[in-house]
Amino acid sequence: MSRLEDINSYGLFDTPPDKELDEITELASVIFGTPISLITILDDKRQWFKSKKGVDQSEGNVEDSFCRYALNKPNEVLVVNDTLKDQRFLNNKLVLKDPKIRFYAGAPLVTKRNNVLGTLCVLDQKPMEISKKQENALQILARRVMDKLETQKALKELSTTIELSTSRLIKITENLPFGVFELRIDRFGNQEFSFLSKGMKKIHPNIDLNEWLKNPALGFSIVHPDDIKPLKNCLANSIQNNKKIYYEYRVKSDSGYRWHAVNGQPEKTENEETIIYGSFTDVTHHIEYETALEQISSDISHVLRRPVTSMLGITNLLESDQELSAKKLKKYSGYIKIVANELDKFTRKLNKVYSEKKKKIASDSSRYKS
Amino acid sequence: MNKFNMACIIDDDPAFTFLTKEIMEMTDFCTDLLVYKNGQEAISGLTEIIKSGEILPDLILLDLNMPIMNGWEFLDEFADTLNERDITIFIVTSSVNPTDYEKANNYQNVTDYIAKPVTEESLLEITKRIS
Repeated sequence: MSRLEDINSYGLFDTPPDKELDEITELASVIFGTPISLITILDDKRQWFKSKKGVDQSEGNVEDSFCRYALNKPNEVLVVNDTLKDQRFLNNKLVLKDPKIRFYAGAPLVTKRNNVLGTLCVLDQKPMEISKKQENALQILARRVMDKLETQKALKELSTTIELSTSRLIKITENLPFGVFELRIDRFGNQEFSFLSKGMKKIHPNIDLNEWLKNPALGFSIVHPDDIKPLKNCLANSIQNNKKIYYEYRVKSDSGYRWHAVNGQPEKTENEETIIYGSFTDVTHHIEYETALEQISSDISHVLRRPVTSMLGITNLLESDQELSAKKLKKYSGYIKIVANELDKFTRKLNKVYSEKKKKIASDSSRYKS
Repeated sequence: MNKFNMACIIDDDPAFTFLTKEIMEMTDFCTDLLVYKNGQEAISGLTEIIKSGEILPDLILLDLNMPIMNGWEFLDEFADTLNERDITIFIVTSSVNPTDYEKANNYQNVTDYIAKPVTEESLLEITKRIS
């Protein structure tokens, strides 16, 4: 990452003053007894003052800046005891004209990637000597500035990440084809939805979600009368024993009753509350499928068994009859034909019922999705 | 082998009836055979026989799944109106539901279940059980 990219990642230019950083420049100016102290940030064109003490303007050109000489030496404090005796600054605008700078000391602000953002610097209109200890003090203060900038940057990145994850989570939740909920039950048994996803609207188009949030019992008003009590029992059992809840029940819809399932996991909180995180799903097509399968297996065992046993009986007879006459054989084959026709009729019917059921389930679930 | 005077099949499946008849003939199972296609037909037929004082069957082989009046309905009707204690009934079925066993215990005349298809062995078993 280049120095410029690194600087921009901190997003410091044109930001409002920061109290903690202002206190550091204040402190630096007191320690060095200089009227001016700055926290400077430099990109390729501007030198911007993140904090300033003793100057009115808040930025300058990079060409005029003292600090640019500190950019390539992250470990050194740049000290100019007398600008008039230093070739680099002899003809500098800030030296020749106001504020007529004679002394400069700047400690680099070094990023984690070892780039120099700018400096914490002290300046005076008269020349000055400083000790190694003072240089060290300036470096310590510069590190404090960096700590603050790094923390700010980390917080900003974290909140961006949280925002992104939150909006992603919301989008995912809202687009689920079923309803997601968070139900809170206090220790007195009072229930309240603390969250209902928009998907709830898809499976309960006739319920006002805002009303439902306040009054969870509203959901029971559309449940089949026979299913209300077992559903309530199941819920109570889940809360009491802290057990996963799964229950299938019928719900009134514009086109008659549909099968729904509630699925959830209770969690006890410190203040004896229970929170159930879960979902409501339309499982009508599963139930219909199961019923069809049950019907088919029952048909197979009951209806199909009959011709099968007849066929077995005929073969038994054929085997045991020692003197099988042509006349008898013809009679037997007549019955074989009856049985075969029965089998044929039944398997055709089974196939028809099954494919109709499949078609119905497919059209139901596509209507449900749209 | 003891021979039945009169046996009776109540079943709507012509293949089953034919087969059972064939085996009965081969094994010399009974002298006479009555066949009814459902419970209703059997009730009316048996009622007629009782009225006219003719010979009633000693044994009934009863199917469960039949149109008009199924095997269970026949058993109810039989117990209520005919109540002939000397008639032994075997339920003949192609598939046995476990709950059907318990249900069958409620009927005094029902001796047991036999599985379809009826074979020489199962007829022999019936003869042994009754004699």
